[in-house]
Amino acid sequence: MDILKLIPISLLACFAAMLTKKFNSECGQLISVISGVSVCVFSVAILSPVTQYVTFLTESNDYSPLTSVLIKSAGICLLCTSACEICKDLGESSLSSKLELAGKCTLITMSLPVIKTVFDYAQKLIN
Amino acid sequence: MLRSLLIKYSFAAVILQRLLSITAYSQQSKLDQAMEKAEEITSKLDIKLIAESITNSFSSYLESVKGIFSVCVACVLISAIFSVLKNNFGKSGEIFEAVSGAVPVLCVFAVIIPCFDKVSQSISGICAYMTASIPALTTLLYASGNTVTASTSGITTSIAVNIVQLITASVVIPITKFCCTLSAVNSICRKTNLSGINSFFKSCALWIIGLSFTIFTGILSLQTALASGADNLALKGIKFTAARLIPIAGSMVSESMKTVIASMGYVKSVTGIGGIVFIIYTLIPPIGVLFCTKLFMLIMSALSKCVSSDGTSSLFDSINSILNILGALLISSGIAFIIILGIFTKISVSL
Repeated sequence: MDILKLIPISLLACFAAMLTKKFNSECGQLISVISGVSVCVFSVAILSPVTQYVTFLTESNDYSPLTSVLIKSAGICLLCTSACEICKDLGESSLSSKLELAGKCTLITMSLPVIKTVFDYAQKLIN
Repeated sequence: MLRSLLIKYSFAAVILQRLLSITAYSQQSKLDQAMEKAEEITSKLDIKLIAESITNSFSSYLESVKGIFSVCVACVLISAIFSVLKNNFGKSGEIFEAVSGAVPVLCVFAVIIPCFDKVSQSISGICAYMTASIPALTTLLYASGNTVTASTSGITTSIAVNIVQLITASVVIPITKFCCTLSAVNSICRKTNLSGINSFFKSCALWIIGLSFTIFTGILSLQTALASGADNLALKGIKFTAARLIPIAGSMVSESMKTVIASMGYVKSVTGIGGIVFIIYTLIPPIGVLFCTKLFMLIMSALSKCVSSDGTSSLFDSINSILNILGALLISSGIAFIIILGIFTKISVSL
């Protein structure tokens, strides 16, 4: 989606959430959450040519899983941070911190093969 | 009494002379056979064949590096792109930074491990050749009747070669490998600053190289002072190692050029173009591999700096400086090899 379309849509969603909050606060929060998630998803979608180009650079290569790990971990970081901020907006700060923890754990687990290979290489080099 | 003693001594001298002539003859016949064999091998030596084998060794290395280059470029691009989004990553950003530091480290390791293997193999090959030349040289000296020279030459050359071999194989190369690992750790955990320890080990390695080659050429000069086959090659060697190699290894080649050319001249005058081809064949492939790896690091460092990926560029710079040490070691070993070959050839000719 074009950024010129995304900006007015998010501003409209903002006004709608503000107006709705006066009559029904839950409904207003729901609008802001939905619009926030949509903006986040579209932002990640904007980056897809970059990921496609990087995948093209490393395709048919033994080391291509490394770049996919990098892209996936960046995506996880973005999504987790957005989700945490939404939780904080809704006043659920404890859930937000737990989500952060879950994101970190996922990142560590995802990067484990890379770290393991680095250790293997280091061991091979020093031995 | 005196007459009988004189007769005995003259008789003994005649026997000794005959024995020596027989030994010299047998040695000469062996030498003739060896020369015939060498001529046969040299006639088979084709420059195209040598160039082809050198190109093959390069291409096999470049083939292994080619895939890693694109991955490394991709990693640098990804880290540069996502460094813009660092603030949006929140607290998970630190882990992403570690992952984005680990991936270039993997690529760098995949490039430098074959390079280290190649250089280590080359240096051990050079040292093995130098060690193998000791008994040949001693035999030549014994055959000519220079027993004192033979004993001093054998011992001193073996000490010199062993010192170089021991220091390069068990001290300098492990130190450089350790420095590589430190650079990797520094790149992955950016909060830890290991650059001070890293530079300390690097300067230690440089000093050890300088010291070992000063000892090497010093022992060679002692040998040539003790042995009658005096030549000023080793003395020239001291000049370049002591004055140039210890502070910076870079300018030693220019300083030692005369020594190397003199040694090459001796080798060429005795063995012909075959000897020069042998030297080139021994020294060029590892130097070429090292040069390719250095080029890779320089390109990646420049690219990282262009896209302002500081952590990654410092990794490439650090590995590049480690490769400089490895290059200094390789060039020093090569020069020592040429000097030893020159001394060996000169003594063989002077006999």
